[in-house]
Amino acid sequence: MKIFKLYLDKDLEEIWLNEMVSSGWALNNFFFGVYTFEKCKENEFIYKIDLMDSFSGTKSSLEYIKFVEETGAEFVSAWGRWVFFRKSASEGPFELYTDVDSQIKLYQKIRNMMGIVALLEFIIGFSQLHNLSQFNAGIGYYSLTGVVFLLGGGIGYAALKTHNKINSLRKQKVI
Amino acid sequence: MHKDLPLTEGVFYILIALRKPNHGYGIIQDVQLMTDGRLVLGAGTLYGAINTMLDKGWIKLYSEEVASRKKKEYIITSTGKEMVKFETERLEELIRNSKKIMEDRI
Repeated sequence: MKIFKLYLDKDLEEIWLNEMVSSGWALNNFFFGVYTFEKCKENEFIYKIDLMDSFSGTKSSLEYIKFVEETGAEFVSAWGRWVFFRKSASEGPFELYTDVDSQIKLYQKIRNMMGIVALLEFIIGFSQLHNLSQFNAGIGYYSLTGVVFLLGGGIGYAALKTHNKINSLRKQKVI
Repeated sequence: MHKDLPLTEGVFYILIALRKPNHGYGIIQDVQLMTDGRLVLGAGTLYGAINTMLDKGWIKLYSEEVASRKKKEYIITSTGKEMVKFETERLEELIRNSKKIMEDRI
């Protein structure tokens, strides 16, 4: 089964993947918003999503995936810097980041990556607008630029939400 | 006090787990055992901590046999042992002072 979905919040995405498991569907591949599921036993796995330091396929990303697999987790899919892991639910709880400091570091990585992507979208959007203003472009061209701005805005908002998550984690630390 | 103090609980226990050569999963198991299952390090947390400590020179690579696909093993360095000593002294001070308030109550 394939489902197309756009998630800008990895925590919500994780919740959804684990809800799918509770109804007997296990993710086995992700590519550009397309989630491919296969049948599994209800509540068979726990899924976790992680952002790596480098792109999938690089030496350091392979090293990280191997490291996580050695701890008993299973590599499911990788796309860009994102990676999906799962573990049998029968083996108990599954967490990749178990202290506040490393959780903060992860969200900082996510926020910075999203910030850069949002900025790129806006740069592309404005340069498109500039190009379109040079000739009598139809509405179709402008709606394409609109999509770019919409994406940039969405990802920028997600970066802001991640920033707030970091702040609330920081507050937890200073009691 | 050393600028890297206090150590996080995870870092402290990872250093102790590396008193002998150990690999990632071995560290997780050792720490779990030492804390009666209270502290179970996540793989992401452990990976980040290992790389930070390698950079700081608190631990070093002990073995890496690529051909046999053997797991990377790490071991504590003398700088790492010093950090454990500093942290232990800090913790002892904490315990010494906390005992004062316990004695007061009785």
